[in-house]
Amino acid sequence: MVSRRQVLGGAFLAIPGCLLARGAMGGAAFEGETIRWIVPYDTGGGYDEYSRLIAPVLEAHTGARVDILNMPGGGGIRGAVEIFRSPADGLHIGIVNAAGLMAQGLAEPDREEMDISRYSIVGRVAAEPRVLVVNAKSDFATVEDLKTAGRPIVCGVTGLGGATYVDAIVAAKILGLDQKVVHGYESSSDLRLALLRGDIDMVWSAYGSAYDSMVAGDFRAVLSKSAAEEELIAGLTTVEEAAGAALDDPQLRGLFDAWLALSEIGRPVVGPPGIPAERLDALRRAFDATLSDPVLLEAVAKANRELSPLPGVEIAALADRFAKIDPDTRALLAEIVRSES
Amino acid sequence: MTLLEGIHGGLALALSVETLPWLGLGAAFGLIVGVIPGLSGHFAMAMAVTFLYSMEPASGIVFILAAHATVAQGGVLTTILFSTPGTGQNAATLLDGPAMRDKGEAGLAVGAVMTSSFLGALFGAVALALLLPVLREVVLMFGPAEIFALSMLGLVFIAVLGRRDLLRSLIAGLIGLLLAMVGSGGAAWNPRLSFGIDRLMDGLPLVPVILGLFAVAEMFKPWGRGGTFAKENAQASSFLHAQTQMMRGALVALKHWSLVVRSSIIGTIIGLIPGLGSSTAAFIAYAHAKQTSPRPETFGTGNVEGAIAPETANNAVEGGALASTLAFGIPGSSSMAILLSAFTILGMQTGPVMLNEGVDVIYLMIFTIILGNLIGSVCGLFMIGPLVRLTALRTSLVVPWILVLIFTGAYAGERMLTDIGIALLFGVFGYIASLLRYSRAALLIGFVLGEAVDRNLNLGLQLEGPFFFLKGLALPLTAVTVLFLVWNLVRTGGAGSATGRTGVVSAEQSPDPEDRGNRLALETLFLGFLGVVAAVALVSVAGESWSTARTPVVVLLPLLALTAVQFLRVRRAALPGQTRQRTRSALAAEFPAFSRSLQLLGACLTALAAIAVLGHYVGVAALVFGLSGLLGGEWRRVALLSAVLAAATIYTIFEVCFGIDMYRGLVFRAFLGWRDF
Repeated sequence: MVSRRQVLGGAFLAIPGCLLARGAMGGAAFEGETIRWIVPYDTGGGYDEYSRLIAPVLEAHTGARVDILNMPGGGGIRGAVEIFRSPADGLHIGIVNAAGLMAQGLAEPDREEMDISRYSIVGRVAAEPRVLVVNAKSDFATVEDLKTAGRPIVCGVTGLGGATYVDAIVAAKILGLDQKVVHGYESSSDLRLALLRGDIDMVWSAYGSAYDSMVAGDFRAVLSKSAAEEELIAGLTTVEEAAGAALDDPQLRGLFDAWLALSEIGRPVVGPPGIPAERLDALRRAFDATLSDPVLLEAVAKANRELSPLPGVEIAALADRFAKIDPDTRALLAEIVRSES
Repeated sequence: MTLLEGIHGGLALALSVETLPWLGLGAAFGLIVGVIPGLSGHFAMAMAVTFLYSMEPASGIVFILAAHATVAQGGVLTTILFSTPGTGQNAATLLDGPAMRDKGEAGLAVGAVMTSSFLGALFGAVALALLLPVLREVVLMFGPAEIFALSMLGLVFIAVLGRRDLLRSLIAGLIGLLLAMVGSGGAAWNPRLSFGIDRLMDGLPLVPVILGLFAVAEMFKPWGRGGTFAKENAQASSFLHAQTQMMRGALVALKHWSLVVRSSIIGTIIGLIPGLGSSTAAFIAYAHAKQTSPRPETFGTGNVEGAIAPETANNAVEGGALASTLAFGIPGSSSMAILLSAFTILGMQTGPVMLNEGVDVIYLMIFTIILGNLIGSVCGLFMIGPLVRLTALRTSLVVPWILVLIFTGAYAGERMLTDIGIALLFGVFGYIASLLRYSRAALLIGFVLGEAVDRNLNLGLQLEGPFFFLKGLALPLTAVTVLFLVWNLVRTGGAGSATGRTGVVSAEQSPDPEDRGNRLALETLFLGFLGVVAAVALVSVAGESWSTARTPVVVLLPLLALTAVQFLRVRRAALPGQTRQRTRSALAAEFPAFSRSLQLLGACLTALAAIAVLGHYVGVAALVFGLSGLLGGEWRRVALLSAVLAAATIYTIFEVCFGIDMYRGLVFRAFLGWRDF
């Protein structure tokens, strides 16, 4: 017979026990230590925000202090190199622009920091959908409108070889668009201003960056890179749907698959090569728990963002898939990245 | 929400018990960040944003905005008192501020700039309020063509700055433009002029360059001179004297109300345009003040107008800079990007939603700028007392401490050791430039505007073709620029011959023939070096695509031509064999000032090496001990104490308070497991 006192006593112990368990889940390994989390962009960017939202919750799940370090430069390359060279003790991690790294790796195959599969991959925070946006005041509502405009469509990009450029070139190739690329805008903010002014007709943008302008009625999304469930673009035509039979061509198909693989990997959280297995496991468990923690989900929702977590193992598989694309497609993609086509 | 409701709501929020303390705290925080060399408004915001996650929206907004607003006011204190601009925005004040200190008018200067800073901020905030109904249209007015035309207008101001010696100013401006071309630019990701150095791929970093040109460079003169840091003037360093002067300074600022208004207009307009920045506003306001002053020749010797104009402008920028951020959620600068992310964190939305329904929030921000600057000005006035006492200390004690702050500020920005090296390099360059009367202001304008010119030229050509600068709003702006340039060139040509052109080295510049000879020798070497660098640069871009090489070539050809012309002028004025002879004498330590400068440089380089190998704290302690004790003649024990104190202070401020880890040194890093090799 269990006495009332025993039940109450048990309940009393259970509560701190639950709280402790939360910390102990991935935590015993990191109790009292400091984790250095590198963001390869300046304060104020999207991934900086994600990091700052995640940090306090990760602290609860690891028992460690999480310090965020902004290390902008080279389009995210500098931060990646910093992570690559850090001590492999599980206390130095950060977000990397894997797509950017891999694209750069096509142009510079000798640099080992560009090979995402060499990093210890912890997990993915989000893979922001990419959308093609136009000025809402323009006449373009669908891809057909773009194709039948009767003049080259002006697409703005930041730098030759960058994400906006690769998106623009590959999409235009697959969809058969008559496109004029205007390059040299400093940032995605400048691109959005140019679109508002009407200097350019369209731009490939991350969903989160264009969100405010879409809500305000300034922009309209015409195409989505891949199927998305986010609020404003659920059910939007994808590139695959718009391309239709064009993707029967094996070269275009190969290019398309490689292009998609790059963005699916998104920007994972990684550590340097060589983190001991138990530490990496503990980190992964804490990370997974963090990304499903209701406290974090609430904060993220309040900031109008969304998480799309993916465990480290699956990202590693994606990276492998990309590494195995056929040489012709690889060469074509490399050409595009080096802005030779 | 009606306008009246918005104003009332905003004011009530700003003055409420919950938010006012945060406003004050933010203002104080910004002031302190401004005082430390190398830390800018961007840094203050980045630090502030980390606290936002647990704050109420109103408190968070006032804290972060107040912190940003007062940084320039903190920076102007160290600019005037220690010749060390805290931020890029204060660099223009270096031209006249310290000269006022040396005349015993530090209090006057600070009183004047604190007052005019506040007035500038007020103007900018009110302008924002008045522009609210048309904010979106105003922001969209400025496209590549318009920004190109305005940037060109800014560059033409170089002609104004250097009217007395146009050739030297033009060379300086062109050097600035050339420096802006370093890194990935123009059309391609292809790095140009970076010679394979990773750090330069994104271009030369602004903060270390400014720290070098305007802070490190200013340390050579007092070190060479010795004595007290502020030139001997016992009364000037008295607390009471400073306080009375401050009141006078405030009145002087009010007396120059017309200049304050004009500088505010300049600041507000430049703030509205994304990408130009507050240092641009400061320098253009300075040039404008010089242009419109009845006594332009006094600029550079301690004319209070030369301090009022830039500080008013860089505070007026605040209001304008908020415009595109609020109107479209598109940040006009990296600081504004942080503010935008703050809005996101606090769950607030910009754009029409805010402009229509969040008017009270907008007015909260407007009142925050006004009140924050008021608090900043008042606090700044109180800080001058103790700080001015410090300038009475010996240079052997003060200069090492300032250098430590410069080293730390240069590193803390982006945590790159190379940035300290860049600051030292530009320190030497800036010192030589100031000795030879090459306008550093012109150089900085060229550097800051060069990127804007290149990028917008590139975009304009792609979008509208070769005559893009004659379309739309750009046409009147281009017309103004051309007229302005022509008018100034005519004035200079006329004035030059009327006063009997002063020649290569004028009598006022150096009455002493020895000194003149030395300057000519130095200038010969300088121009020779410049010519070689320019030639190498030209060769290096020769193989690139036209869109990458276009602007550098357009800059390099005139630069080479003007350098050659100036070189010939200098050779003609110098005695034969003089350069070689004087160089040999200098290296044989026959010129004490030169030797002391070389010692200072040597000490800095050694300290940098020590930082790289043994870590930041060892390096800075070694720098202080070496400079004070070994080279400066202080007692060893005093020097040691000063060294330890300096390291401890840096640790407390940067690691404990700001949470920035300083460089640990290759030895320690290897020990910890870093793979630096």
